Amino acid sequence: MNKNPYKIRILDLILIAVIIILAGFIYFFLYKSNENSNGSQAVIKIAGDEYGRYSLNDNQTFEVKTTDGFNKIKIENGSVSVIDASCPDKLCAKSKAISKSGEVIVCLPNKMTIEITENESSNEIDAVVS
Amino acid sequence: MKNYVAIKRITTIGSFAGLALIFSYVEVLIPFNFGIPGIKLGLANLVVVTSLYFLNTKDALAISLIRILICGLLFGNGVSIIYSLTGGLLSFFAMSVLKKSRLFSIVGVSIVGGFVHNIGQIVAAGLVMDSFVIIYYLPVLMVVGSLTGFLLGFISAKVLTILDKQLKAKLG
Repeated sequence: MNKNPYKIRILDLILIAVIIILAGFIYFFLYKSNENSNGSQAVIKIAGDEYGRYSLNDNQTFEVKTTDGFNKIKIENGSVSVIDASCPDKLCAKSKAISKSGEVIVCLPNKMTIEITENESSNEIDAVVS
Repeated sequence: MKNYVAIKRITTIGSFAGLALIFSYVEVLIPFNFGIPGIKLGLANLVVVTSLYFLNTKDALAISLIRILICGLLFGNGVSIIYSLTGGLLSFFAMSVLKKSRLFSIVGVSIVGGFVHNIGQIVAAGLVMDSFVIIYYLPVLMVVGSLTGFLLGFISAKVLTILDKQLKAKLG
């Protein structure tokens, strides 16, 4: 019965179902823990280091310049989007605008991430020992 | 005799690797972009999975590595090779283990391959960017990876069934 490896099996279908259900759980877990509320600020990080925090209430367009390139960010009507970038595939520019807490836009080549968070002062514990 | 086998092996691996490379290149022409980093058809995996069953594990690994390295050099940018390598190696390891277990069919193996490939890439990206907010994309990548894996596995199964018949006809 389990002879032919080229014929699809019930176990394969169960596998796909399990993965989809698991993905669903993770999806809800990620969203529920943020109460899916409208965030209030966008935190931009480059290679993990915070570049800046921007209130979603201030409409503005600015450039985030890194050693490898740049990303043009636009904040308007409480949402953030990337309108231009120096990266080759420009996936970040093609992403939808984000506005809810927890949502992110990333530009992998430029190692830039934009994350929407609730309004609070920097909760990063930076300890630099040199 | 030994030379003959070696030559056959080298040319076979070379042909498959070349095919995988072309598939990697061609999939750029097929719009499969949802604005999320890491979403792609992974057409080259079609060759890897097929060679995993048609050739042996070592040869399939060689094909996968050659494809990743050359593709990275030709079309990659900076760290993209790290992502591809991580995803590709983890995916291959998972697939070879699963294939040996004989639990799943080639379709199941391919599903896991696509699934692990995407997760591996996302973990690598998170480590490189030193920020795991990218985990926000995990559910989508999991599902898309599994579905493309399912599709590719299905195609591989069809191809291998035909190859099997041809081989039997030749020997039979």
